Amino acid sequence: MSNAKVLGYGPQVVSRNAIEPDAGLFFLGGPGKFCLCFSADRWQAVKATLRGAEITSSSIAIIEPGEREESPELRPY
Amino acid sequence: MASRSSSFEPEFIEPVGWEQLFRDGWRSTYFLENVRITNDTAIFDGGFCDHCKWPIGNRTKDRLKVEWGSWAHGIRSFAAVAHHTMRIPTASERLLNVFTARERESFEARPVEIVPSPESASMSLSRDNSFPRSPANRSNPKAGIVASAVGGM
Repeated sequence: MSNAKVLGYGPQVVSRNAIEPDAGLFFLGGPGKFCLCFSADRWQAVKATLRGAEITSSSIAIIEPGEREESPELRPY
Repeated sequence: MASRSSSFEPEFIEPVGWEQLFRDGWRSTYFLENVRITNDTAIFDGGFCDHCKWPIGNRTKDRLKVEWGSWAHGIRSFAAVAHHTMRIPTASERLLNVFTARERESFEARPVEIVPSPESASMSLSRDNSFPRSPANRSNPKAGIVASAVGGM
């Protein structure tokens, strides 16, 4: 979950290698908080099938594996 | 698909200079929390910890029973929350049918029993646009027409 100045507060950020190739959906989060994520085409299909279901969604930022920094040092905000 | 005015899909303001992060079009959707589990002591081997409120042990084979009250009117997909800690996703058969066979293999779905809440015992579970809509549910509100997903998450 982004809380940085770059993306603002709230957008979910997922590393591309965490998503199975050709996957149409995945669960994001853990037992205490999770959401269901759909690829663009699957989301359109879901909306079409569940017409009027009033399900809301938000965009997810996808980063490349090389853009992910493990155990980053603390930096001034 | 033409969007309905009742759908709420806020426009996302992409951060200037970082639009490429969103070009794949992945979307996340949420599970609401407005259902109550009525058999929470039976759904895990060791029940729930009195202190941290999280479940102890493995999921039992007992069916999840969720109370369906007037507060749930209009809910189509949601998560059952046990002791305000562990969330168990529950979904209508209609939603489950959206998933492809391959997607269904990524999680295990189990039948759920719906228990009308005392204050809404006289409420028709299938009225208007309320969820669920199974014809069987009209005559038998305890029909297992929703499912919870476990594992594969």
